[in-house]
Amino acid sequence: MILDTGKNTEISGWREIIKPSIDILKRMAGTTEDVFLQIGSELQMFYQRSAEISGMANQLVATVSGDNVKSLTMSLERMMADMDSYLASARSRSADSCATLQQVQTLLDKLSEPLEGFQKMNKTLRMLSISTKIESARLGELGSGFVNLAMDVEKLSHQVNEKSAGIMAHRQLLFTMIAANLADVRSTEAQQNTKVKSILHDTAENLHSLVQINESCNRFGETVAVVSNEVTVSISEVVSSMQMHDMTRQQLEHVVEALERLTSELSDANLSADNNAGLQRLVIEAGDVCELQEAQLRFASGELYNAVCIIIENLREIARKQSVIAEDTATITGAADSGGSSFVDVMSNGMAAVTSVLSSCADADRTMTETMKKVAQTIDEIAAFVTDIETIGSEIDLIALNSQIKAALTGPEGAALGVLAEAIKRLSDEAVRQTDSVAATLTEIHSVTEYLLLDSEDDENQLGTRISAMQSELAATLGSLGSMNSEMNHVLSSLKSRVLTLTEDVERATAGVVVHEQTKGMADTVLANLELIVAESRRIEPASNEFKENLRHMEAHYTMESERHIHEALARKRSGQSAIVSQVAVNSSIDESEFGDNVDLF
Amino acid sequence: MAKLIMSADDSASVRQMVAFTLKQNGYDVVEAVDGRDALNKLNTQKVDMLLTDLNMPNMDGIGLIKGVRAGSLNKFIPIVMLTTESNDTKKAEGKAAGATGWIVKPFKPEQLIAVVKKVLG
Repeated sequence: MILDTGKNTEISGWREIIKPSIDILKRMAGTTEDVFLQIGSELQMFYQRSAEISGMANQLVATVSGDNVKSLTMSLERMMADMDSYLASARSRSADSCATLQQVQTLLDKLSEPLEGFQKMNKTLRMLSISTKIESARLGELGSGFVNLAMDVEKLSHQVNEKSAGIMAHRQLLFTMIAANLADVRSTEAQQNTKVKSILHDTAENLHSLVQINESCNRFGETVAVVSNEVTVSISEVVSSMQMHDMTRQQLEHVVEALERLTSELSDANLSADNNAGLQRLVIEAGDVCELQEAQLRFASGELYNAVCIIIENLREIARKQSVIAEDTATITGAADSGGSSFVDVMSNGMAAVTSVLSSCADADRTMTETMKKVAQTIDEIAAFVTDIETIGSEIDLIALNSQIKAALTGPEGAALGVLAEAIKRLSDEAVRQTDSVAATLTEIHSVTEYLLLDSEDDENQLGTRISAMQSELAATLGSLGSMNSEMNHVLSSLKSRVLTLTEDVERATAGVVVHEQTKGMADTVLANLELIVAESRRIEPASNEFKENLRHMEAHYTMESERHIHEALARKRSGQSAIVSQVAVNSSIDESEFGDNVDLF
Repeated sequence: MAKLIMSADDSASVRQMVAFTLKQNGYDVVEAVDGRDALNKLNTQKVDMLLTDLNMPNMDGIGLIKGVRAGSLNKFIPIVMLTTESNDTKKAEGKAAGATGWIVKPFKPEQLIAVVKKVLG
């Protein structure tokens, strides 16, 4: 084919297309370094912060899964068993106390009969006193000594009345006190039963939660390690992709070198119309060079674009993984629910309620002991009244004896007085019988209450010590829980804050990375220029089958296997073979080293 | 005491990534911007290992290796090329000059560390 002179002008115009393209490529190769250095600096910072976050997550997990919590769990289990045992014995004591008090009530009922007897005795004594006075008056001088006896009898009847009234009052007092105490005990017992069931249930659940959290944390430690490894993989991807900048720069330099050589070839001298064969060869070469460099540039630009996308995606992945760790850590440690309260808070409240129940148990014990003391004291007071009545009975007996003697001395006229003296004597016997009955009942009450009192005092001392020990242990446990809670909240708060700022910083840093879009835009401009030259050159002179041979000299400039692959692919295309250039093809070398196919140790 | 490794590369971002990878794994790093800078530093500073690029201004990686092997202070240290060059002829040239190993970019951090551990024993 013979080229006309118009073509010379067209070909020389390619130089004006190539020169600005070279400028663009040089800018493209030289201006990305600072951006990548900035990304590299931030990568190191993100890596450091990510490692700190993983460390904090591990610390948090260690806090909940460590020996401290195991010891706390064991302590709580022991305390629950103690509490259960204590409350069972408290219920048993309460039942015993109630039974005893009911027994005392029954015994107090038995006092009714002798007390009625005392009242009858009192009436009879008064009647006998009056009868004695009447009979004494009838006898006149002979019965003068009986008046004094009648007055003594009347006085004793008053005393019997007074003492029996005292006994009745004390008996009523005991009834009232026992009834009130029984009501209190039963009410406390009912409340305790409900409260204790609820607390034991909650405490058992919290204990179960603690055990579960402890187990989960042990497993979560492995998750944190896995995530840390995943972060390491992401970092590895970033480090690997960061090198694409240097590789792309070198590829661009090779493209620039090729295009500069072509520009030189397209000199005015070579474009002389006299050298038609040379011009024809130059058109073919321009097409070949531009087609090859277009392929090289497209590949390099694509590689750089993908590398930056990988960098951005992996940096975001690092932040996302740490966010997941922070959220999982909060959930797994039970540090806070949606309402913001932790299981430790719930457990602390439960423990405080337990303390309250134990205190109320101790109060109930003390109240029961006090009641028993009051019962014993009242019984002693009743016993004193009984002793007084016994004394009165003895005095009545003496009066009856004196009356009988005086009646005998008076002779037949005193027969009636003798009958009265006999009646008084029977009353003294009745008094003895009634006081014996009351005394026997009181002895029975005394023995029952004394047994309970001694029992209560012993129990109170033992249980007081036991409650103090449990309360001390609870206080220590609450202290440990509080410390753990405080540490967990502190670390978690710090963890969340760090993850948030890391996520924000990564988002800010990656959002600002536009180098791949910029370089793609620059590359697209150059690619369009090269496509134009390829199209024009092919229109003037179709592609040669000797493409590979013509461009063999270019192979010497390649440093990268990918470049050689592209070259080969285009050569095959010119030979009618497949020209697919893919990353798979580029990386298809056999793995020859234990370190990877890109490593050789000599 | 941490081992000291020199990283010679004309690309600041590559030096940055090499240093980051090594420091993360407990090594100390000294950097050089090209072969001449590296050789100057190696004449006065003892290091445990040299990682060098091949294509650098002023003095390339092969020249650097020859210089180091001809010197005395770091004559016997392991030298690993870290380059985009994968040509077997170049590798043979590097080996002949005294290179211990050859890593083609892009490298994975774990690859680099595995090689460093291997050559440093």
